[in-house]
Amino acid sequence: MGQILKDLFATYSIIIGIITISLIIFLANQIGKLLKERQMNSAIAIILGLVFAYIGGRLTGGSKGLADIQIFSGISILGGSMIRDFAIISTAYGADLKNLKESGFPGIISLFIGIFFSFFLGAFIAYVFGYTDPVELTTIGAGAVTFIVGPVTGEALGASSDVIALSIAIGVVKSILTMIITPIIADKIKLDNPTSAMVFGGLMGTTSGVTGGLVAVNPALVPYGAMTATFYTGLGSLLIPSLGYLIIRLIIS
Amino acid sequence: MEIYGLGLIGLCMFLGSFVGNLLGGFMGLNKDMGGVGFGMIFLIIITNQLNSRGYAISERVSKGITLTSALYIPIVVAMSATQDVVKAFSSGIVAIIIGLVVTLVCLGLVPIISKIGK
Repeated sequence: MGQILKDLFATYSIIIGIITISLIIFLANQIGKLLKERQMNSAIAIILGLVFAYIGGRLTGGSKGLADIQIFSGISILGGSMIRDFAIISTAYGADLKNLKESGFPGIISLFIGIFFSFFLGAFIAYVFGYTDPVELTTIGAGAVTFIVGPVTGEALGASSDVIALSIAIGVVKSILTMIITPIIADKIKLDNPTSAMVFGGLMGTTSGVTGGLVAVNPALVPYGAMTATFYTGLGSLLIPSLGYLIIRLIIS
Repeated sequence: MEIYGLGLIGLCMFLGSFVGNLLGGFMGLNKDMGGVGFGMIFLIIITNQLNSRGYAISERVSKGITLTSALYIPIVVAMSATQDVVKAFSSGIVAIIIGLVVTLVCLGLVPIISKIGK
């Protein structure tokens, strides 16, 4: 009987993933009901996901959170980039071109400001902490851009693997904090219209953070935030290892 | 037919990724630059064009697309559950401080930059 279960878990991994995610979301909704904070249900669900990722990581020593536990391996397909990108694109349906045209300019500005601000701020703090090698500073700053730009930059510049790991960590922290903090301060930063959502996406850039955060604020704003955020990593991956590195080298010498 | 909705998204995703890779190629990178963004733009343009020319998208096709978007939260939860959270917290205080400061500063810039457009 135990063998039947084992085989089923292996063959139906994606199905088990779907059941697990349903349970996590159900749990989150119950917590939301208890706390009388229904609109935070999505944020709670995402935090729960992160908590389980932490538990999974501690239990297995792996890097894929809950998915490192054999039974839950199907979750990595559900949360993988192909399916995620498919869902992101679908959220663009219903976006009004009129709103887009009005938001175009601030969106582009926010992209460049967001990338370079995050980069130089991150590199500066690293400098304060004692890092002085331009490759390391650039890589750490790149991690402050997103957790993909970090390792992309680090690998391009030949940084050591612990610095690359640090850059990923920074990017993940930024992503998680964005997901968690955004719904809490959305009112204070006036995140309530397509323009500010596009600016938000352009400034923060972490697609997971931006979409995760916006989904808990107002799902209708997700496409606008995602639109700028998805260009962020691509643009960052291009500008940081080249222009960013050159500037850091100039400043250091 | 609901599946047309999924097919439309898939088509936009494929086209978007193609353009993203072309762009990455021109810039000397073997990367998909903004493919998802392009995919979204294609979806928006195509649906806006269809609507303005009178080919209203049928309710069933609409349902196919909105079902996919409704799965977005669960997919984000699945993505969160597979993050390396242990690493994020174990790289010590540096990662947390940089992540925190950069996040808060950029969040604070949102209302300022939003005003620029108005």
